[in-house]
Amino acid sequence: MNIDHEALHQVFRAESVEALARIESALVRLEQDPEDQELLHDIFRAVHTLKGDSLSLGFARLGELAHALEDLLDAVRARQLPVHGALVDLLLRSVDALRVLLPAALNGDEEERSEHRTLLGEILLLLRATQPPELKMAAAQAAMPADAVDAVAAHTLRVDVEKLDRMLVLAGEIAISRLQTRQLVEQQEGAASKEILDLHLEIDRQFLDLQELLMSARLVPLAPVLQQLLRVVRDSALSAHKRVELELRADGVELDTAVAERIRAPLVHMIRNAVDHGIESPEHRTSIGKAPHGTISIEARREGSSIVIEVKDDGAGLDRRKLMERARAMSLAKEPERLSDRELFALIFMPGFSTASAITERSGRGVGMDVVRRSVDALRGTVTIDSQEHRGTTFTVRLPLTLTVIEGLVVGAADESYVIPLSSVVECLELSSLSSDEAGVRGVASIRGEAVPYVRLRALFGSVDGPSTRENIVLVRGQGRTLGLVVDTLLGDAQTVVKPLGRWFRNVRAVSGSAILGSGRVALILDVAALLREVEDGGLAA
Amino acid sequence: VAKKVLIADDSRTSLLLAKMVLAALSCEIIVARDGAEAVDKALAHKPDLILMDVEMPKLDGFEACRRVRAVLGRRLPILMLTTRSSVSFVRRGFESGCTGYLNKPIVNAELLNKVRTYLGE
Repeated sequence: MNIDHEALHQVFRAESVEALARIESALVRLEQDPEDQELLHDIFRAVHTLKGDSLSLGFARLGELAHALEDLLDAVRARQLPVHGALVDLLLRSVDALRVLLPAALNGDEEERSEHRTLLGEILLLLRATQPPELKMAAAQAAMPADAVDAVAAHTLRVDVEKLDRMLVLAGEIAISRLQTRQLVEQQEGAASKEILDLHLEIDRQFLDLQELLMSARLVPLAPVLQQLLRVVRDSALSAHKRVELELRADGVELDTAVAERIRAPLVHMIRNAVDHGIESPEHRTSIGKAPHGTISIEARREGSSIVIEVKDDGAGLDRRKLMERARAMSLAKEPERLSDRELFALIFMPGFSTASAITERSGRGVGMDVVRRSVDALRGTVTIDSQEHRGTTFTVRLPLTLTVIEGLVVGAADESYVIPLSSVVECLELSSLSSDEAGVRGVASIRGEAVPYVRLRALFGSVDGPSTRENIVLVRGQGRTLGLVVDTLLGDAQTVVKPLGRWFRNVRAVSGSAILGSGRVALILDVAALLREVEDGGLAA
Repeated sequence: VAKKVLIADDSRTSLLLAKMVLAALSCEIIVARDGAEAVDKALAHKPDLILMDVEMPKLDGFEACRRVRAVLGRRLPILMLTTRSSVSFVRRGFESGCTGYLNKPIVNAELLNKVRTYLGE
């Protein structure tokens, strides 16, 4: 028998982490709806599976705790124990303990821990209170030593994100070699070159497929990240003596793994703030005619190449008056009463603003909303607030699908696509109407009586063909100067993913990176600052 | 012709472990992740042996066993995988028409020997 323990452990780890997350969110829902038998069965089955697998793999401590939990859930299933807060609490703490035991067991650490003894003791006490059940203590099961037979591979693999990052960077580098190869081949004469070109185009297509696959391999579902927030809401509502329900809508929304990892913390922050400072106490809510329990809803959806996450509460909303007082006290605005709602609300993202005790009583937002803004900024995202007094507050977080995205104008020259960062584009004009001269790399155009130097992209990047019959000129500005970029076609604007150039391409002039367009096609991103510099220095001569 | 073994279990870990253990035999292994899939695959592949977990989503092992038995007849060996050994539990199993039990956690050698026996190797 040949047991590939590493593969087995890998599957077990992934499956167990998933199961614990599922158990946790199901427990929180069960507390709200104790009569949901389906939910109870799901939890039981997940714990049961975890127990069985732990014991099969010889993880005695993990198996022991899971086994105790299973007995507890069995008693709940048999209606010997009612679902109540203290029980759910114990179950949730056990989930936490299992989360600690899991990596320890996988690292070969099966030491007994006192806190787990205590937990087991609590579970036993609860069980004993119902009736003395036949408690089967888990027996350690040693795995068989391995013989030499063919190994069976797992169907899923965990891959280091860093490796995926490197693959993308490499793909960017290949994109540039690809372009250069194509130009070289196109310059060759003869029948053989035609065949090489065809082959090259075929490889191109396959390369684009590969690149798209690479991108999609980085996408993970957002739902599990949001599921974890159920627990955050439950715990913070308990400690704030409030009643809060969390609604989640994120079906099918996927985003880059790096973004998914980093969005959790700001979401937790927003949720805690909503519970602590947005949602009113049950008594107060009842007295003003609201339902005693508050509702926080998180809705995620995809809009083009961004992900929009809305965090909405039906609490007290932001208090304009208090925000204005605070703004004046911090001298953030001379006449805060003239600020629009949006401008005023945006102030709570200022460092130090929301930590003020002055605004935390009713509707102010507590600790450090500036942290939220900074985390979202770091993801190249934006966060905006909408709020109505007594109606509630909505935070809208907008994130790029992938980590590095720029807004760019996509242009075509000699059958290739280039991206000009939108931030530097001033305007686009048709060149035929202008006094353009010949087809060289450089020239000067007269635009509204002003002489503007320009660079012709198709010539700059080595095409031997003459200029296109209809050309456009894109005026870009930087460092106080204007430059024209002559292109064949304007393909519209797009948000594109930026990949830095690899080390072999650092010297490619006027290019700052490669970008993958929505179509999966690769384009070069023009380095406007470098182009301006070269023109200034008299470089780029034809 | 290679013998076919259907393993139904909602745990990927268990399925992988069973596959690794049974790799020592030259049998074809078919897997199912829930009770309903187990019934479908049993009817489609007509395996020579079924290993059936009891706690599964959609249909539990007992119900799946009953349904497979009703179509494929009495000769097909179906072993229930379970951690439970109470009398009532065992009786439920036999009432649903299973051939025998295999204890969980799985002892690799025991699994291998049982499968070998039932496949007549």
